[in-house]
Amino acid sequence: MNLFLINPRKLFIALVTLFYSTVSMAQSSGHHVRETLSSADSSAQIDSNKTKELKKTAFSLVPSSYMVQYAGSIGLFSVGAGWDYSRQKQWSTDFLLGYVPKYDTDRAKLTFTLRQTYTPFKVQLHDQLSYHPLRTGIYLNTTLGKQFWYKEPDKYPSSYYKFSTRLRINIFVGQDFTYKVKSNSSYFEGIKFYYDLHTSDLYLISGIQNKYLKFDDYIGLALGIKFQIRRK
Amino acid sequence: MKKFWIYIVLASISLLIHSCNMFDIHPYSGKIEGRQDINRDNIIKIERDYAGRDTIKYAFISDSQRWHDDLDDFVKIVNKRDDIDFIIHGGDISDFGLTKEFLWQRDILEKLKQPYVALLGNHDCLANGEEIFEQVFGNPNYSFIAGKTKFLCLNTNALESDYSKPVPDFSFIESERLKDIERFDQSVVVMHARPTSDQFNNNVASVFQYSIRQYPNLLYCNNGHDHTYQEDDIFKDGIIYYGTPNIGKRQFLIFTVTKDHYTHELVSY
Repeated sequence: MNLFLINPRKLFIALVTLFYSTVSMAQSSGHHVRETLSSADSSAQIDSNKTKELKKTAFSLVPSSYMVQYAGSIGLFSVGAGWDYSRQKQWSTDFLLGYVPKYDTDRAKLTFTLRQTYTPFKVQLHDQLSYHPLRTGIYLNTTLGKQFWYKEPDKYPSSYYKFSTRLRINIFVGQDFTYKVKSNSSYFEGIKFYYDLHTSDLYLISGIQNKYLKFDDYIGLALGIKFQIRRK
Repeated sequence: MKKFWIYIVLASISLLIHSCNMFDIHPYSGKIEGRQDINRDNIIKIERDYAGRDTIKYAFISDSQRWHDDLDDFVKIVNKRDDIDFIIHGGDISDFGLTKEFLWQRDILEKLKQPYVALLGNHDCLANGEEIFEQVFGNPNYSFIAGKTKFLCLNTNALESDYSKPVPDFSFIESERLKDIERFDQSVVVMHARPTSDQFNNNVASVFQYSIRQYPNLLYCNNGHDHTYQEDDIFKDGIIYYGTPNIGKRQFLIFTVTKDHYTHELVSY
């Protein structure tokens, strides 16, 4: 059974392209707001709005958040940096480095993760506390080590194993709470607590095909904290 | 409206608390919980309980990767019978080499009332799978004596090994040939991939056959891997290789071994 209808490398490139196109879309929407404003209001107000909107939505290479995560099929603990974008900060792209202790095997492992999250709804519970009832998305995880390959080595007959031991495609749904810091000048703007229920291609196909496997056999839980940096 | 959201929050928190054992570190974490060294302990049971018996009867299954439901049904069926002395699993316990796959299948096999042993399949070698296999089940080359028959269980997945270790391991085969000779008078060789298959080191196929034929009164061989029932005299020397279908076909073999003689049947469920 072919688990990847498309080549994993192509998928990776496609996801990166999607990320940059979303970023440029977010930037151009900010630009659009600026233009509408300049045609309407008084000049002083326009200027302040203009710079504010532009800076909020503009893409910066400096990450807008840092995070730590527990579990999630990417390591015992992972640390990462993220970019939150679009006007309502509904989209975010995170890059995480995970550590897997050696447990009962010969060596510990490091993993890399690229995660794309979409958070469509926001509920303001309190002045400083907001709640996002849904966060969902996809993450790709690669594991370092020569035991793990993208495509089976040449020694095998072609299409012998039809899947990659190195690249996992995960999907997730979760929720988060964001606590905004009161100060307007602090380095951190807010702190976000999230949890995700996730599964990967290989777990999912095992779970779907077998009634024997229960929900918690192939669905995992991850907990994380995201520190959001203030953008001036 | 606010109350509604509070209920949602409370429901979410209770779900979180409920799911504390759901943390998955990594698909290839190698985090093994529960029973380990199963072959070693079950071999002690087999050798003790059936010592000196003239007739033994065992079920031979193989290739249960990703067929958890069918393996579970097999366990239920065998547990209803009382004539099976032990079970041999011919390998491919996992499909992707995932740590959890080994544990899922182990937990199904653990429900068996009779002792069982498992062989290493080629899928079990994927990623760090072989390390997990060795922890949970044991060394990929081993032997045991049931009644008066020696079962030689061999790792034959040469394609997986990159010549980093001998597969098949001729020095192991030689060292086992006369070990405990006073306790057995006939032999059976069990493997995952048989000679001529894509996994076997076919350069040494006839040498392999020669070396196992040196065993006292070799009756026949058992193999898995090909996912179909096989009964072939591969080397035209009277030694039959009996291949068992994958468990997904809901079929398995039962062998009855007596002195100098054996019968087998293909069971469908």
